[in-house]
Amino acid sequence: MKYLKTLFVFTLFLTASLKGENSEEIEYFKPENIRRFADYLFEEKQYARAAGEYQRFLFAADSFPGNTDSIFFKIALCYRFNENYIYSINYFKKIANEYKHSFLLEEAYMGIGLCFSLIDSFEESNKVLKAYFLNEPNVDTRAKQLITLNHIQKKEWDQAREFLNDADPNSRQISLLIGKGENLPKKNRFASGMFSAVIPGSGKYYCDRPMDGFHSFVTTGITTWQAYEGFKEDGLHSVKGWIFGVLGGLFYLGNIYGSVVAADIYNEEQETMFKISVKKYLDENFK
Amino acid sequence: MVNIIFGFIYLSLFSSGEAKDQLEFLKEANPITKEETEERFVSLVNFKETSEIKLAFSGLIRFYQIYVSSQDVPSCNFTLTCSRFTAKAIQEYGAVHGFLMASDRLQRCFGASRKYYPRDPKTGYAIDYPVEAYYIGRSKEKSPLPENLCSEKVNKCRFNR
Repeated sequence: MKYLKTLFVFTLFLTASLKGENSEEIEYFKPENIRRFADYLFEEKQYARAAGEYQRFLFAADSFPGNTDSIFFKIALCYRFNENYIYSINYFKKIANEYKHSFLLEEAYMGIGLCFSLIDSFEESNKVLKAYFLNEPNVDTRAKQLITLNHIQKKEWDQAREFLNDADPNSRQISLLIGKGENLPKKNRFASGMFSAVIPGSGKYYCDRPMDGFHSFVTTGITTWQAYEGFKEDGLHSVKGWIFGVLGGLFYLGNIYGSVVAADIYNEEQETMFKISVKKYLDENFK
Repeated sequence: MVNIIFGFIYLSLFSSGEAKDQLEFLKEANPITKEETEERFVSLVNFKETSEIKLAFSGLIRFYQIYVSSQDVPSCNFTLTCSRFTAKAIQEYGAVHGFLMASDRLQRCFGASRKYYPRDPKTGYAIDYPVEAYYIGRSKEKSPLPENLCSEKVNKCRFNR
């Protein structure tokens, strides 16, 4: 029993002493720790939270630390990865305007150009990129690529070729994109409508919708044939003739209308798919 | 005689149980949720509409939905059904455009064309572009085709051809 008591007291003493050793509290609101936490969130790809923590770090620090430009850069990156491009541009602009000698200046301009490009402001993107990079003695290949891609998205093929750098290993891929964009398959809405007016459904066949075309041909054909049968039997007083005649007429006009719209949709689908392929290239090479 | 009656009762009990099982199985296989029903037969008549023609045609379509279409199984291939499409087209673009758009839509609504459209995983119906996409005077800048749907549709068409 006495032995147990001693053991108990000894255990208590030991735990108390151990606790005493580790009782040093972590100051979670210390700027360095906020920064460490923000870096951790950034690594974990929790960009929205990381941006907030970096901002809190700047707020918590008594004076702006020496590497504020890199913090701004991190915040801008967080917003860009989180697809808040306008916020991202604002932070990149802060670096561009306030830290003219920063080693991140070039990257900041690239960031502004890329964000503008991602929100489809190609003109603005090229303006920023050309103003900064074309004055540099050695123009960054990535900047040239981005300018080229902006011209591609604006369908300015000649200007895009002008900026294409043959020494760039990606130039072949970009020139393929230019070729693809220049030769996108197109359907003429007038031709499509005319085809359907002559043979119902042929306009849709022309617009790469063969089954729709076939169905249009069948519905228009059957209703018109029934109307013809009705009028042939009872003359102009035929109820069947009028019902199927109106239906057939509606199907016929709808088929012409649909063929014109199908041509528009076909062209827009091709353009959208091309845009998606350019954005995919941007995603793979710039993000 | 009594044996026969009891036999019938027994059989009827047994068969009703089986029928119930079948019903449960059918319910599980084809879940028709309340939301889906509401989505397909939502009120289309805009009572604030001032155009008599639009109001009359919307009313006719609503009549068709309540008293005609409801008597049959849902047979339209698209998630925005043809009747809803027509009502929306008439409300937004007037009777002439609305009927022409509806006529085009009816010519696209058949079993074989279903494979050209992406499917709604919830309902299994084909997803079509919104009504605005089929208006002849649509501006590409103001109402472009939805990018996701477009790429899904084009990829599906490529795969099917």
